[in-house]
Amino acid sequence: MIYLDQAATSWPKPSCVLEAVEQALSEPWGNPGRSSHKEAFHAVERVLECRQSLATLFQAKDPLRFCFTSNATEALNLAIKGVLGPGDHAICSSMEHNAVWRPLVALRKHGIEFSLAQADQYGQVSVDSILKELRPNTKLVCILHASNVCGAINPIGEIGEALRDKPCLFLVDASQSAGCLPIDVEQMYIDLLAFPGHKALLGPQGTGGLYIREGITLLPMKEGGTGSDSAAESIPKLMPDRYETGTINTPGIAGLGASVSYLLRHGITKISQEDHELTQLLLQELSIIPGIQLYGPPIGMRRAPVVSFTFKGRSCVAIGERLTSRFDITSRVGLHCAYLAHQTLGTVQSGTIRFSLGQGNTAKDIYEAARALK
Amino acid sequence: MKQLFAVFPSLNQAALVRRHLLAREIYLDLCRTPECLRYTGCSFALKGDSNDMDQLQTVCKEISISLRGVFEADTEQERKPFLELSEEEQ
Repeated sequence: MIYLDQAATSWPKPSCVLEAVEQALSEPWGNPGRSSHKEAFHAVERVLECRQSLATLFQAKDPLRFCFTSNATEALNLAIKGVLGPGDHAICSSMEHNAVWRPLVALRKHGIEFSLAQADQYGQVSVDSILKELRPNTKLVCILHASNVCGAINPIGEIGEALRDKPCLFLVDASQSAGCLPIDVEQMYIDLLAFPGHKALLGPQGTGGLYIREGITLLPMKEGGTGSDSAAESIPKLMPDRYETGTINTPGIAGLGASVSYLLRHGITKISQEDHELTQLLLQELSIIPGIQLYGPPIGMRRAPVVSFTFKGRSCVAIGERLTSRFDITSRVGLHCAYLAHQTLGTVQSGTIRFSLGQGNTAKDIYEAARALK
Repeated sequence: MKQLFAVFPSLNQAALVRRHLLAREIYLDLCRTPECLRYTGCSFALKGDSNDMDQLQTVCKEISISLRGVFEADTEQERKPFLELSEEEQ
């Protein structure tokens, strides 16, 4: 099998991830943050190790500013709904995933408006396109770092710098960049960073998180037990307790901690370069196949390891099924939960076929996928 | 022997401070806050040698962790009375 659906979830996971998850389940780990026996303390230390690895990866000063969620969608919902209130305005790009678009649409009934910053033909949004949508009541700007449809990378650092003196928060959706592109929350002036654990971070499914800059308090999405301030009737303001009510996914977080440590050992810059070379090879191989139209940044321009294409006169769904059934090649076809992006790229009717690459892929995979399409 | 109890609002804070102290080769144990202290409601503490108090407070300051309070207990006394050394409510 050739796995080219890394943007949906990465595979294979490093062996250290499997070992960490197995250890968390087979050894007597307690519930972190609840009980006071050594098994519970052992669990809380493993969870803390994961937070510290994430803080190192994203250059954050305080590991306790990371709260765990079950995925990036939950993190984005927490950020969006935790910041915005009636009368507020938000900005997102015309390439956002439904995990951003749908919460913003749902908030309209609560008197919250949003505007789209229009991306260009390659799917990239400029600083100017965001600034021209700013209003006096703009409270949140939410931009994806890299497109899950075409891999276009947005200039997050430039956007963060342009917004740093504005009275709004900057939320970055790092679903397709965390683990494969360098992210520095300090240098990029990121207030809120949502990320999945199971994509390029190589952790288990069911993991994700939100970085919340010091000084920012969000409205929590859930209330319940936190293992702290139990006599208080309202949820504490403490990080990360405020956003981690109920028992967290300790085995998943143990796996995520192992995968982030693995990435730190390998180095994100090196991983990013490897992904870039493989992605360029894929683009070159696809570009010489008659009938294929590629979307996103042109060959040579940096992008996340995501490539979308259509085949003139042929159904994307049929091609995807043929790749699976005849060649055992996994891809993803359709709108990839990103209607806005397809509207921007002009592919709403057809959808696209998406190949996405990662640490588990080699040049051989690329050649075989291209040969299958010829 | 005098023992230190540094009380934190949550286990996450206590665990982070403990980790920083370990890096300085100071070993304090995590524990549930003794109920005779007035911090009810699942709070956690670090306990250890009271000579490490200065280092503990330095670490808390460096990483911006607020302590609920610091207490000293004389473990040789039968009733182990706790003496409050400092308090820094959040």
